[in-house]
Amino acid sequence: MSQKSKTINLYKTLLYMGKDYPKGYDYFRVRLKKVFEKNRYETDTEKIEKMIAHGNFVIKELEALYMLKKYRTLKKRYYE
Amino acid sequence: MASIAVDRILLRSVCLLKNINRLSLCRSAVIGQFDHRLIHAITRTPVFSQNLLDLEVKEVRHYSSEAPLTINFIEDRVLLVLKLYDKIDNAKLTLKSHFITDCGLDSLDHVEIIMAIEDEFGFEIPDTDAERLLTPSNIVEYIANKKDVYS
Amino acid sequence: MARVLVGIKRVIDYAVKIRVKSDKSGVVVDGVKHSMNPFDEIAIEEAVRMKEKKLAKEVIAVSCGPTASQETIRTALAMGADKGIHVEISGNEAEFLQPIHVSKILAKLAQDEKVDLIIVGKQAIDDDCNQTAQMTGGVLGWPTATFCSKIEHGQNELTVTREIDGGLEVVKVKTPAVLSADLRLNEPRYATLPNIMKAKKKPVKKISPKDLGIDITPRIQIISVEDPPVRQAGSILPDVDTLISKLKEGGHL
Repeated sequence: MSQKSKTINLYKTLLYMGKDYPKGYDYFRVRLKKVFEKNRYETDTEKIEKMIAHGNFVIKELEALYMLKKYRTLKKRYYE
Repeated sequence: MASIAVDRILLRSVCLLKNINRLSLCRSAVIGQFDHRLIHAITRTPVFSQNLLDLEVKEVRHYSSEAPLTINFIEDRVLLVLKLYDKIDNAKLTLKSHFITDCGLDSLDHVEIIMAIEDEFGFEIPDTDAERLLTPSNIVEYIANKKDVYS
Repeated sequence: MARVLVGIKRVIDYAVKIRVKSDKSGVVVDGVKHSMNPFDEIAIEEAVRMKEKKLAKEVIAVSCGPTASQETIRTALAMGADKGIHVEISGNEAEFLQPIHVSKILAKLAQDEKVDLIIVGKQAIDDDCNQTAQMTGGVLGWPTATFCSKIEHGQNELTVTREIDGGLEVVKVKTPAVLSADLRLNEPRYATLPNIMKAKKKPVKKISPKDLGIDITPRIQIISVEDPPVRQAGSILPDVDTLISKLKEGGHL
């Protein structure tokens, strides 16, 4: 996969996950765009690769965050 | 008997079309007043097709089949999705406008548009195909091809 | 190998602030984010893990509700269920659909699909009924283990750890059986975007309660739905003396 399509895929996945973001989709969307735009002129393939890896890490973090938030809310609501 | 049935079907599809127009009209008229958070809530759920399906189900017990697609209908739905996107100037938008050169969007905005279209029509557009969909009419053509619509 | 049926419900998302309709007839559902009942996610996850461990052959996700319930079925398919059954019930009727109806639907589908195990969430976070598993077991005459926090598989039987008041209870049930999932049973996976897309290719059968021969006339009438009482704000006191005098004032000392 080319770096461009990797980046686009990353953006798409993050955008999709933003729909579940606790502070709302719009909050997430605007910040996501800014972060990507900040590096739009980066040409060093190695640096880009690192950024993509970081993005994929953020996806995992978000998944964990959502899971934990849901678990905690339910626990508080039903078990305390 | 048969002709009555045909008449009724015709009548129904006319009603359906009227409804579509009314829906899309009032929706685009109202949009100016919404703040974009609301608009996004709308884009996420395919309200439009939903209403249509509901109509279908009420009038004919039409299980497990979607509302029939026509080129015009696809065009309307594509344009509706695009108009709901906050970064597109509705006045500038036509079927032929180029997202990047005419509407001033960047490649990330383009990804958002493609995702909204995927949501609306319920199928995946691979990145390699998405790259080529640079005007609304590109998208309409692409969907028509995928869904085998020729008229 | 077992065939597993999982019941899933589309409910208002757990994070949404619920608003009661002004006429007290119910809660506002229009334009509100919906998602799969979190306890049902746990049920699906358990079934999918069974499949991954080759303990189950097929996982079938069933949801009863309006057209939008299909989205919930897609989520289940994206998590790994093999096929979906959408029991279509109009929005109006779905509002008054009760556990007894759902139980009869699940029981009928379980027989039609020849399943060996039914797993449902222990309760839905909207009406908090906690009845569907029990009633389904009743309709089918199958052993039922509720509030499961651990399920171990044996030869034609399951050893289930149940969460009960103040502790855990371990029971054995013969299959076919009905189980209801509690919060600690597992940690459900996230339905990723590529999997949601792939799920669109999996089969979803649409069917009506009438096709199944099930009457969904409401058995319970909802008299009124109201907000919980608002808790009064507390106040911060400067020292212990003030606290004592306040308590005396209130007649607590």
